[in-house]
Amino acid sequence: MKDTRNNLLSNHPKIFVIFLFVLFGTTLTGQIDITQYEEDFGEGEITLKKRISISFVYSESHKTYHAKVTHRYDKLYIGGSYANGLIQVPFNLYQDLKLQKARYFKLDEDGEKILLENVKVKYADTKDYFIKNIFYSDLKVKQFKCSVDLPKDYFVSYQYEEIIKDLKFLTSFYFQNASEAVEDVEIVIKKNANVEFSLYDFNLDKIEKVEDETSIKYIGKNLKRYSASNKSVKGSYYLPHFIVSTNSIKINGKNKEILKSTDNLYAWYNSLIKELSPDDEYIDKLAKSIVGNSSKQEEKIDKIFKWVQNNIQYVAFEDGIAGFKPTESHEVAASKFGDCKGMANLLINLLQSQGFDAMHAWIGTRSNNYSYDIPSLVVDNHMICGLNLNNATYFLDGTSKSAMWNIAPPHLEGKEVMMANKETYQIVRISKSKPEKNKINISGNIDMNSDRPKIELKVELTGHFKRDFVSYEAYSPLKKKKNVPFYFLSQYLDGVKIENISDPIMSKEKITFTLSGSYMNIARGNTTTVFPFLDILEFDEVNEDMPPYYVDFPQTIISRLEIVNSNKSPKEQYSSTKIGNESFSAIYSSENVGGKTIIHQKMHLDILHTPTELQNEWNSFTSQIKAFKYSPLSYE
Amino acid sequence: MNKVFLIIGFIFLHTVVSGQISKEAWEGYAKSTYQNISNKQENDATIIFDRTYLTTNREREKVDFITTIHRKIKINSLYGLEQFNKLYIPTFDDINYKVEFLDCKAKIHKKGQKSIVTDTSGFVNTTLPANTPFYYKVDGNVKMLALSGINIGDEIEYIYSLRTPYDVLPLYFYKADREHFSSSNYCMEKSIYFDTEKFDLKIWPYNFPNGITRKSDFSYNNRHGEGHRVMIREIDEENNELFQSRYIDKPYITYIIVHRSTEEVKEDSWSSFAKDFKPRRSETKQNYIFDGEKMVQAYKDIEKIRGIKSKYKKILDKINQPLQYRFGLYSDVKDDIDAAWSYAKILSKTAKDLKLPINFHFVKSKHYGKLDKSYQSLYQFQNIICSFKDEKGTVYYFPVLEPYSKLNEIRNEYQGVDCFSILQDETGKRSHEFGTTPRFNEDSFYNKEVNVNLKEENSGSLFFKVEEKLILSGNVWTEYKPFISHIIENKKQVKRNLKRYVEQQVVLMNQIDSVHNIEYEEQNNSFVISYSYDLEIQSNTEAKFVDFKMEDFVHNEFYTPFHQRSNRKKQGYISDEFDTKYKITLNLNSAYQWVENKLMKSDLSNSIANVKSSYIKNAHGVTADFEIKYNLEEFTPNQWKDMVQARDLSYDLLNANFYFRK
Repeated sequence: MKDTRNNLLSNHPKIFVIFLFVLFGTTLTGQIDITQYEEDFGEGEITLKKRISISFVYSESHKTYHAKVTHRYDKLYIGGSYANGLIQVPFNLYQDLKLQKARYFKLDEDGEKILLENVKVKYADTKDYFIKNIFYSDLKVKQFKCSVDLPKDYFVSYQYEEIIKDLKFLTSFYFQNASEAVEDVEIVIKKNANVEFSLYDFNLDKIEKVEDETSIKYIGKNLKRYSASNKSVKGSYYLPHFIVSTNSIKINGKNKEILKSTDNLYAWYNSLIKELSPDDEYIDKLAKSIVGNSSKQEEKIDKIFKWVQNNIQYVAFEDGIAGFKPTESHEVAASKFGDCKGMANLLINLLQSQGFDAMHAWIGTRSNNYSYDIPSLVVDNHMICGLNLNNATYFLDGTSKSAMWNIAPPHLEGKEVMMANKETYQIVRISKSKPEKNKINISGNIDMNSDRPKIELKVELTGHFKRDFVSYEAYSPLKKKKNVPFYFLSQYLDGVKIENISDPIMSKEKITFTLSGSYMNIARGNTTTVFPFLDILEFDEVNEDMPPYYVDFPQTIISRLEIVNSNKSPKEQYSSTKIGNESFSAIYSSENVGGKTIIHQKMHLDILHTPTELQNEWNSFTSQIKAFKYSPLSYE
Repeated sequence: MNKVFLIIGFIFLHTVVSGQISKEAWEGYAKSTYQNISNKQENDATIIFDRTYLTTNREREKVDFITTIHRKIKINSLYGLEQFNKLYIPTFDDINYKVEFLDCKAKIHKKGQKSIVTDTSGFVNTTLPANTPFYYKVDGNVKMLALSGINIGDEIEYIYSLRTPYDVLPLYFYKADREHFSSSNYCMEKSIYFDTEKFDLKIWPYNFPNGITRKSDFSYNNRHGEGHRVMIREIDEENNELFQSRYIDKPYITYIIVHRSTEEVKEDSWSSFAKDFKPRRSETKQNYIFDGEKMVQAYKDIEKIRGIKSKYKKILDKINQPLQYRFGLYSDVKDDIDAAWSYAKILSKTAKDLKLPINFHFVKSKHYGKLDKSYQSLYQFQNIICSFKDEKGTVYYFPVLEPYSKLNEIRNEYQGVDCFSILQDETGKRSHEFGTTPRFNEDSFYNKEVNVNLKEENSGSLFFKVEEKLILSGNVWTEYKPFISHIIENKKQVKRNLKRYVEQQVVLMNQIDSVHNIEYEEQNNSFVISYSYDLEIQSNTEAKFVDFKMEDFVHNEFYTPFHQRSNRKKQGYISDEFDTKYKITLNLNSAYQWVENKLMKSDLSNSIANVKSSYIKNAHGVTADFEIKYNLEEFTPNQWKDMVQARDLSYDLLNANFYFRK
């Protein structure tokens, strides 16, 4: 064998040259310039090559089409590994996942890859995965890691194949995740004459899309890492991705609709609801015991809603189809626990038994950015109870311990709801709340009498701020409840060193508490300079590599501070200054009343996330609002 | 007929469960009802009892180890309810190790009402989640069950049994483990029961700190195979307080269950401990501590050198080499008493052969508490420090497993601690005594000097050249030395690797491109690294001031969370806290005027620390100093007030704004 090769090379100089060229070429392409990558993309995960191929294959045994998705990744990690190079590939019960290859390499000084481990992928662990401590039996991961110690910089190459047996579950494909930089990505969808599908593109301004007779190819190059924070919107708002929705398949000449339109989506959801058989007698008896002798409709609804809030715990063990089908209402009532669907279903059955027009309603919370124009399972992720009453529609979410039945919680604001009506459905949109309804009102004084001025503040919370406070308090340990006012408000109190807090006083409309401590934004020299404007905007400017900020709800923040015991008038006065526009605005001013200086601030945000189309305007607004932090009062 | 089935069923169940595990627990569960307890504290849940029953079942060719857990918990709040409304039972199934689930019962007691029994047939089986934070558990499985019908004020009670089969002849059965007596909530009673019939049981109650013994019902008498119980009452909930120790204040017992015929379990003595240190030939013929060099050759090299001190310097160099060449090993052997024990035995022989005196000091790290003279075991120590006296009578100390170390470079955690010492003269004759290790390096600082100079200014941006100098001295340098020495030893990678270390010291790293001009120098007992970087700060064009904080350039680690400021319960341990000095010079230009702030001058001295700060105004800015020096290494809950005062002042100084008027 050896002789044959030598002869071949020596007898064919051209082949030998090509052989050398290939060898040389391989060496060159195998080199990885870590310093350059670190300069271009920074430390962390860098995907050098990502290839995803989606095709539709006919399964003889199942007599239907499946989706076959192959994945191949070459990744470089710079600056340290998590759990020794742990790679986790998620899958669910509707997929077969087969890991095909995984290899770890270290890099020598010239950037050459040196094999560390060829992972025996057939022994990869299959593990369950929890999301926010909730177990979903249909969500699993296959995982593997390197069994020898990895250096700080390493390279991993792996590939796997997934077969999606039910085409409803063919959903979204992302070109990158928030913490990942990607040098080269291609996702290809191969066309099939018997499978009709639709594509819905999101944030693909840096992605090229090429279509020919056989395939559609998406190509992305040099996708930089995003600097997302815990205040950012979720990935579907800004990460490049697309949704594939299988419209229909043709088998033996016959068309079968899968998710051609939202009608198909509803039809499937409705079929699961129709499988329910509630114990009417049990529910009726329970509903009667809850409402007691109430006769007013609103009172009955309030009692039922509060009973579910107070007695049913949110515990989700979502097993298989239970990820989509609610648990029977009498089972939830008896066990006193359930997931969102179980709690919604119980609310619906209890209200129906009292004669109310209550219905199942599906919704995608504000954690995703989709509407029901797209017939896909990724559009919704939550179930609530819809209620028609006196020509108005209400949206009851039993999972929230602090919500009121007639006010939709903020994570649903502005989102579409699919409301069941037997064989038909209705899509309605939950309206956005008014900023003036959700208010923080801070009033108090800064006492200049001591070296380090003392500050006393009275705080009032209304609307969603009040609801958030109640929720925060309800879920806090008993020993930490007294600290809730501090942690709730601390983000607005830069420069205020809180030393004492009062117990909150709760009324139907508002929550009130007081805070006191020292004021730190001061310089005392020959002149005393105090910076009395509070930093009431919790968001910053949004740069190119940053996702927009998620605003919990439209809101108003008002502050009125009196500067007392200064004995003199400050050099500065601030006439009323208004900045911003209709969606986000602020007013700042100071006035002298009876020898005291009074500082006024008011900010108004009528947005649900920082606007991408008005980024410059937003950045100018934040810059101006932050500048007030440096507006002094000087006392000679 | 039904009755017959019932009886058969009962007999079967009795064999499977009651015959193998503690009857007491299951009978106790069956009889248990709602218990009126007084909630003395503000607890989200009160653990009425938490009982663990450990039972051995000896069979002809194997041993089953049965663990039964019986708990009763009163729910006092929504937070408590959410903690306990799910039951998780860990199991394991591997070729070599199995933990099998036997049975479980659960019920909810309601005041004045009938108890609600949870159907325990509906367990969900899952692997421990892939995203579990407990990395050591990722191979296990868990059975999960949501407990039904719970309201605040109810009492949850459950019991379950697990079997671990050991496929060994009972003659060879051996089990050793540690059981903790900590609790996430206030616990009225925590007990561990042993029923180890026909096996010997040995329990060490040595880690019952701060008078817990008085509250415990502890017994140790297993000569005749009776059951035993270790019980502690009134265990406070675990608080994650700043500077508390994960090890010292947590009561636990260690137990060994062993077949009585294999080895007599006996109480040891310090004399027998010292005797056991005598090196055996099989233990000292290895040459690994001299990096493969033959012992005879190593002796020849050392013998050539004159003077005891020089000889030991050479020995230290030689024993350091294996860890310097294979630095990855350091993390494996650091504070590993078994490795130190092996090294020390060979050193004992080496010293004897070379006719040198040497002492071995068995030390317990400050992280693990103080030496317990009543507990004779190698395993209460973390390390062995050696010492010798030279011809002039000067005593020198050296560690056995610290790469790059020199004489008298002992980590702070082993300085000034009680120790057990084995003294060996030049003839090899040994004696033993208790003593205390000395302290070194009274003046040890983590010191950073920063110069911030404005270079350029344009439309809203200020461009600074920042020069930083990091000086690690004394104990601080000893702590960092192995890692930094390893970095600078690799000449090819030194720039890149040192840069990574330096980048961790730059607070605003995410705002700069890169650090430049990295220089380093090892000086007498200290190490200096200097570097610089360019910093661009967006100046708010709307504002009339710009501000800087010291914490923009040095890490401010003095924040005390609001909820931890009062009601301190645990002892605090601060031997790891470095005395720290910072000096920062801010130089802008004539367009900026520093607004003097006398509040930045301070001098605090209390039982915990001395904190000083001052400033000097200069032409275009200010130079500010900060220093914190600790007075002690641990503090009582009563001293927490002083600690908060020192931390608050430090935090405020580093967080304070230096305002510059434009």
